[in-house]
Amino acid sequence: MLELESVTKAYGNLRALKEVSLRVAPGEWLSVMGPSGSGKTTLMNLVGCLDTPTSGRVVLDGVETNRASRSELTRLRRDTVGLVFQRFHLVPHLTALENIMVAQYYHSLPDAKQAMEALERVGLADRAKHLPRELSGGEQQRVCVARALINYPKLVLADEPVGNLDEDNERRVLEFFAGLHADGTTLVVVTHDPKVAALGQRTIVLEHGRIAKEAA
Amino acid sequence: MASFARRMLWAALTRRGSRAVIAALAVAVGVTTLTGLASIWLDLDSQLARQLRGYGANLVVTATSGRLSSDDLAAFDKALEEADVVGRSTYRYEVVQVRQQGLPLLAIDTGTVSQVRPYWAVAGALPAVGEVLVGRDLAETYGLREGDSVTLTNDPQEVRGRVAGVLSTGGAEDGQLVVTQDTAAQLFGEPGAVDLIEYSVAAQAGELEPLAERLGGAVGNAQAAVVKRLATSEAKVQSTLGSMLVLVSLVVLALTAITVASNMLALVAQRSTEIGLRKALGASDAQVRGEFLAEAVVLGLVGGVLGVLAGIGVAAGVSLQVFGRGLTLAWPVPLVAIAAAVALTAAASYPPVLRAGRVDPAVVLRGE
Repeated sequence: MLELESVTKAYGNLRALKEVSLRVAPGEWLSVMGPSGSGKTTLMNLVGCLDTPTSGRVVLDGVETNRASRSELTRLRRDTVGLVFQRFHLVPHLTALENIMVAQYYHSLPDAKQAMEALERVGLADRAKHLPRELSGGEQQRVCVARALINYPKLVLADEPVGNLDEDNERRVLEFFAGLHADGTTLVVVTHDPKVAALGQRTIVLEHGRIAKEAA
Repeated sequence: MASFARRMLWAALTRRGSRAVIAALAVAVGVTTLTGLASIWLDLDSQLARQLRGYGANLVVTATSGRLSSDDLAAFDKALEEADVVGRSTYRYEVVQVRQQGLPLLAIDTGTVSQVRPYWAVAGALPAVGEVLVGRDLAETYGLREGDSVTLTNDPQEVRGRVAGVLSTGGAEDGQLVVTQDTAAQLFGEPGAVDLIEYSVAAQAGELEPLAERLGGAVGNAQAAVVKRLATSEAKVQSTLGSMLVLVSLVVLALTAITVASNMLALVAQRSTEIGLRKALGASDAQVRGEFLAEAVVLGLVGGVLGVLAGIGVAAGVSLQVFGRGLTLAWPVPLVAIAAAVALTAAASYPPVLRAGRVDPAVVLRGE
């Protein structure tokens, strides 16, 4: 599903990732850990096709993203990847339902019924017409998860998905991820929390832009 | 698909509040000024043409031989049927004996003289039949005052008249005696005969010469001429004011464009994370540009409509205050102004829109 081969990403003189190689099989749940500044976000950007490497190869779903055009990267983001952010990143002037429909809109066709079903799955049907500022952090994260999954992506990338959530919402989101994994979706989850990391089949630990440890 | 795009556009414009309102207001203020100035400018020629009629007649008709009759007068009026005639008055010149001296006598139509010679300063009143208005210089020379008696003689006819007032014009009339045309007819006969007709016509530069030609051709023994000094001055005033309005309009246009552009730049900067998010969700550069351009067009349209309504109100108010007349609205102005508002907003928004298209989607994850 995903392969990184000797990937380096430099911002000026700063090398955020250094010669990182990694393979993620279809349906695998990979946890990524590491302290701040270790290169986790850079890795997410490269895997999520939000950025391209300075050197090395990144192959996602058979497409070499380091050689891909802007429009090919856009297509990969749209069709292959579902993103879950630590800070949710919902469009502030759109309702919960509309925030999910935005992902449908850029992917294919907005379908309010299907978007509503996605909200029902994350237990937020009654909050469909609320703006993000009217939702709690946990509710916003659940909308973010529903949005990431609405187009049935092959790979779900989650950056600290439960970092800002209370215990109850954390449990709900992780149960949801477990369900996705059981359904065969590939998951890459960045986390500081060893308990969350332990839910994955494999964990890598980044330090100073390199993979310092890897554990199954 | 399109309906959701409209839904997102509507949400962006209505739920984000201040920025969109400020952008629309900036456009509205600019369009108000432009519509106001354009409406006043397009109506300026006719408004000024009427205002400047206060300086006197701009067309004069004289006889090439003999005198002009009331039939001739009717023919002239018919020739000017389609012109905007503000005033018309007739004059007859004679020489009358006063205290055994020949003095110039001007017979006027007291009902219409003020239409073409509004600058006459009369201390007292215009003459009634049997009365005399004395020019200032003559009044000083003969020691005549309002209420005195003066005898006008055209042997054997004689009229003993009362001095109705003293006339000051700074012109030839200061050395003349002024009476009604009926009084002149009593002294000299030929009732209805006149030597000079003055017209005050509200016309724009270049329209007077053809009118003069039409008047000259209306009657066999008549010639008509444009009062060049006045016509040229009017054209200069109109041209100067027009140039000033165009200049002010251009400055306003530039300021509006700068305001809209800076506002849209701020809007793009404020929403860079949202733009990054849209791209992270799969929006192409072109889609992002299209969405922002659509917002700009709608803001331009809303601002344009508001501005046009306010601009027409302002122009009508100014017209009433300055010229004392309502505004004659040139109907293409609102349509052109709205189209210009949309085009200006789109053009001014283009650099920020391009910038929005270039926002890096990785911006979403930075700072996480």
